Amino acid sequence: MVHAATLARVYLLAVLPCLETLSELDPRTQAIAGAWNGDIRLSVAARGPHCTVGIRGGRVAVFDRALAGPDVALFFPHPLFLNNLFKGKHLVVALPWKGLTRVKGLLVFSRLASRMQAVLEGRAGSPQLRAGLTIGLLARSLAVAATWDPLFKQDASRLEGVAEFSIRGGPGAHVHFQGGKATAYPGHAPSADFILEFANSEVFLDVADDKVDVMARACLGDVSLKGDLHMGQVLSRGLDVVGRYLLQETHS
Amino acid sequence: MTYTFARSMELFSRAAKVIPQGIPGHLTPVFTVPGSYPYFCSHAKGSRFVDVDGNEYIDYMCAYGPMILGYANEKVDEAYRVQAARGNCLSLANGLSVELAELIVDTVDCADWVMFAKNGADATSMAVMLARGYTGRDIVVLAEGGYHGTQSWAGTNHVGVTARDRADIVMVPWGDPDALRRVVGRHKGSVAGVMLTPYHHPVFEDQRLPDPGFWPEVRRICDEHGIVLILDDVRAGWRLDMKGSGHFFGIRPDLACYSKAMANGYPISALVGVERLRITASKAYFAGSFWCNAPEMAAAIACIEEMKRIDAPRIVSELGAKLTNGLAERARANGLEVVISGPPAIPFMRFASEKNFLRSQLFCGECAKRGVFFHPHHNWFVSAAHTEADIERTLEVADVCFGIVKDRFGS
Repeated sequence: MVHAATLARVYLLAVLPCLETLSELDPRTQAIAGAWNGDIRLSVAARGPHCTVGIRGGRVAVFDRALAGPDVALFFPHPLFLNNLFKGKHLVVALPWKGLTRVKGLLVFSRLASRMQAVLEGRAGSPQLRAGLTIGLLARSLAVAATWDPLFKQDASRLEGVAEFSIRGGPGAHVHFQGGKATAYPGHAPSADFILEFANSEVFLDVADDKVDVMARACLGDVSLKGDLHMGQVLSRGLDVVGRYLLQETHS
Repeated sequence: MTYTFARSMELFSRAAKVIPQGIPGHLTPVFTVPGSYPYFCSHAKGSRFVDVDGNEYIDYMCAYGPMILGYANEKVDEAYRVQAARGNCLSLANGLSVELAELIVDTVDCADWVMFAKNGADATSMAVMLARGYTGRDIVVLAEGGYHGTQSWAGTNHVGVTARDRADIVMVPWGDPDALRRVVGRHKGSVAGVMLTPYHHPVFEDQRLPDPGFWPEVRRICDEHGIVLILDDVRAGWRLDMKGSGHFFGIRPDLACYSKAMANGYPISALVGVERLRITASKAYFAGSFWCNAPEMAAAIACIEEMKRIDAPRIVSELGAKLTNGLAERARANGLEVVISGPPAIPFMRFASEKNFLRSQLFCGECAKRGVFFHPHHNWFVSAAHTEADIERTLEVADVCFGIVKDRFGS
């Protein structure tokens, strides 16, 4: 079951930050972002979630809060309306709180989103670029699901410590679990309690796409699981939950 | 010189193509340390097994419990062979079922009657159904972190299990009678059964023996509210006490479940019960194609008689105490501290300074590469086939491996 309010958080706090990584690594994204400078704020209802996408000099920064004075502010009265925007459905209700006349900013945002989607779906960019984006996306989505998904947060609330996800010799991300909250960070953890390491980008992407038997690949050495395997078991369930959110099947 | 596992890996490559996970369930190598452990066993005798690469191990997992008298025990295997030659899966019940039931009623403290099945999960599922049938109520109380099988109600699996499957299951912390009383009060008149293990043996955590007042209080709560008390003795059964772990801890449950050590590895399980549940049991329809197989019953008779003859619980307890005391001493001598919990015959060891099992994985992996088979996050099992020489050799290997842990992680 996908929970609409959690899905909105996944979009704002896990998916949109992919634009940061993309604008660091992908010249095509830098070119799109270079066409406009400004801030776009997205807010869902009064209580949030909120997020602000800052575009400056061909780079994108995504903040997990509502920054003051954006050039464009989009307000979605209900999570479903934001979710529909991300799913490309027709019923999108966003109140143009501010700056809707700044069409160029919205156009750039839309093109950035399209580029991101193409890379995440493997239709553009290299597998390494897609892997770098996806590993951060999974870690952030996991943190959102662990904190907000009504069912998974019950399991995740018992986790304490750090889980790291990494590609051997390549990018990584880690999630801190503490006191019922989870926070994702880019890069390798200084000290992790559970480490899930993939032999290379191809293996990671096959796992992310649910194309391979992870348990079997772990026994063959393509995937390494070390440390707190109980945390690993809980996170395995969490990654299934995250998969449902990222497949955008909302039933709320 | 440490072990290598080329043949295990070669077999696993084939397995991964035709079996989901390659090796599914509790035997998955993912739960041990891939690269440090064998994946496939070739043969076994007594306390030891040999993997497909020809490496020999002193085994402290005992097939995760069933092996109590030693692998390929001659008395048990002979009983099985004789009956297999006379008929296996038959069109009628075999007389051995009566003989085995009488033996269990004679042996187990709370057994006024017996029903047979194949696995522990069959017995726990039958117990849940009988508790509901007897009381006409829905809710079953289980302990957090307990294990009663992979059925959808038991909470272990997450694939294909719906909220409705678990709607009538309520969880309490093990060992907390106040929590149990609160839950029973909250669901007054709706609780059919309370299913608990005789002591708490979760994975990834220290085991907990019951406080002196725990079982009497649980019994009192169940009696006050007309609740069926179910003892899941599948894991510990006959390693603590031939009369059952309930007897060992001074409690008489209404139903108790047995399997692992019942036939030294042959597939059979039993649900036993007290007199007042007999009529309900007589009305239920429980069956499986192989539940009445006679050779397993012959093996169970031979196994139970042999366990009684040699007093297997005393042997495994004494050997377990030697093993755990020795491990604690060797760890200390290496500047390390370990926490060993649970009964000596079914011990669980972890390093005091960690919760993430990285040291345990290194220690157990290095032991495996030197011929001692421990598990990094599951309790171990001691059998009556282990010898003093096995324990001595184990402690020699452990000494080396504690040193490796200290070199890697410090004290």
